[in-house]
Amino acid sequence: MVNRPPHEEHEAPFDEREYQRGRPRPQDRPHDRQARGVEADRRYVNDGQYLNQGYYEEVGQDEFGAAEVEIGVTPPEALDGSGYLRPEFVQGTEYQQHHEESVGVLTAGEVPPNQMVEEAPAQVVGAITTFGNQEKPVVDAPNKLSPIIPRGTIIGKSILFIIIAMCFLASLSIVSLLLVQSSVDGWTADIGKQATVQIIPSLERDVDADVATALEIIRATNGVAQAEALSKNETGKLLEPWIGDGIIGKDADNNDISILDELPIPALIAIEFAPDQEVNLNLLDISLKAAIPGISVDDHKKWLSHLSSIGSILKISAFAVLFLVIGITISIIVFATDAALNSNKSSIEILFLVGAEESFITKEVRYHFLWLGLKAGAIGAIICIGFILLIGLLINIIYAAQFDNLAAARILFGQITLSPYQYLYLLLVPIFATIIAGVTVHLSAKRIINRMH
Amino acid sequence: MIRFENVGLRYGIGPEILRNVSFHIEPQSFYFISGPSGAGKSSLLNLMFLSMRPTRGLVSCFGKDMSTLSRSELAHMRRKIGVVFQDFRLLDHLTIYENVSLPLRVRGFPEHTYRQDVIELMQWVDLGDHMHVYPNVLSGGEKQRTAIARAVIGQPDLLLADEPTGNVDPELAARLLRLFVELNKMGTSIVIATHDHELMNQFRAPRLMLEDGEVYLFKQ
Repeated sequence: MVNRPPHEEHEAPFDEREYQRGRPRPQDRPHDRQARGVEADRRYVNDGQYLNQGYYEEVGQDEFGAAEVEIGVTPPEALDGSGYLRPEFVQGTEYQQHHEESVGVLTAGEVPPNQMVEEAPAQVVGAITTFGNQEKPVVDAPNKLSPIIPRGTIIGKSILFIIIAMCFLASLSIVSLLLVQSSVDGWTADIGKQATVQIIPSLERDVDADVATALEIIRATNGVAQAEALSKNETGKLLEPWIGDGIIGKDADNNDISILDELPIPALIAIEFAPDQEVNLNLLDISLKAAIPGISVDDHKKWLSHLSSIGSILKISAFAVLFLVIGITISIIVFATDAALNSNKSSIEILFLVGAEESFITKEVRYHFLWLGLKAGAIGAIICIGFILLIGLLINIIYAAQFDNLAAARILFGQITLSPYQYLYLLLVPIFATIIAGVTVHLSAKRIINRMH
Repeated sequence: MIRFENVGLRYGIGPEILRNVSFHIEPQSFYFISGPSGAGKSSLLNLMFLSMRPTRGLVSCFGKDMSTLSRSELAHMRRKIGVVFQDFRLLDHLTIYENVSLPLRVRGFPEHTYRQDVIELMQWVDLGDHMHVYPNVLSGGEKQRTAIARAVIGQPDLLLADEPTGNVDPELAARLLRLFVELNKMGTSIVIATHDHELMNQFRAPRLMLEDGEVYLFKQ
């Protein structure tokens, strides 16, 4: 039996919300109306000062000798409108008599809130709905709900680590693509707007006069911004890597002497094209050949085609690595989903039994993996950015130590630095990692749940 | 509400566990299912709860043939049925509050819409001070009441209870019975599978007796 202090606020067992949800009020239901008609030997399970909880009455014995009871609700005339019984209705009833004998009559103020009151024996006065004493302190409900499927059982630390590694590799592939593209663009831009004219020396002709003629023809050609003949010193420097130092020196009178004087070294003219104009190299070639026999024009197309081929191979390799990484990531997520759902099989069964739809369970699992994708993608991309910055710094230090012309070395061998907008490409990693994780886990979870059915 | 017509059930190629089972659970009714251990009480409850399909015969639930229901319809149908399992089947990683509110949560209701109802129900089953407690520290009776609260929070039309008093002392068993009776008075049909004659003797209700895979109805 529950003793509820009268001064404590509470709601009646059947409030308006119950009614609005479609459940009939007790007095509206036929069997309750029927029950209200029974007046004989009624015991009220609470008195006038306490919460109304209904009543039961003994109507006889069954064939096993057990008490046969009818259980119903308190008639409305006994209620004071707030879930309590009217005091006058309880006066003189068997319930009151029993209550006074067993625990005494409690009046307002006697029972402080949250104090336990000894419970009356249930078999004598039947508290139909209550267990123990409802004056126990009620703890607030939790503010935040736990995930229905615990994250720890779905995504272990090893899975997170592997996906981060995959995202790092994917980021690295993207960076490789960007670097290769930058290098190829640099080579193409620098070499594509230059050409070289070569005049082979012969005994019959005056090379200097041929160079002057060639320069005249070249400078008269549309689209040529600049044309300069390379001096012996400049030609010598170009040959230094192949022939070695000491090509050019000084004699006793401090005059330049060169072994190139004794060798049939071709004279070179470097041409730079105007950036916004097309030059008809064929026409230039024909004009020069008509004026000077043995002259040749090299527009570096051969070099460019070689470099483009190398660039394409590197790009294809980077794409292959990227697709491989995506494939491995998808496989890992499929396995992880399978393991997660199987380890939570009993929880999922319970969810089905309490009326969950497949989409609800898929959503619960997908939620975890979306977070996994986003987190791993972001961490992988950040690690990659750090890695690229570090490598770029090291490469610059090495170039600075090895080469005099740092800019030329960077163009020729490439550089490991990204422009700020190229870093934005790495934002694709967490975005795609989230999408891939979400789509994969959705399809995978649906397949596994189908199998469970 | 639930109608069985010549239902038979067998596992694999084994003998029939249930044979020619025919009965009808009417709205707002109260039934006991009884019989010796292994007689098929749990199988019958599983069929009633739509977690198994019969090998023959017709099971119709709320006027719909169970064999024609899609998975989505099945989930919606299950929401009209509350189940109290013999082993409670509470989720150990969720608090008692979260376990009780689970049926409403899976229906997609926001937490604030059912919070007060769950708190009231937990007070009703005297678990108001156990909101944050996890099931593994509860006693058998408390787990049982949690399972009952979870089964009734969604205001089911039918409540199935498998040995609901199997783990509790006779006094608590009597109280649980009163709880079921109260729910029945509120309009919920109750079906209790038990072999506890003491419990069945405390309340006059028709009994579905299982014997050799067949069901006999004893009206009290």
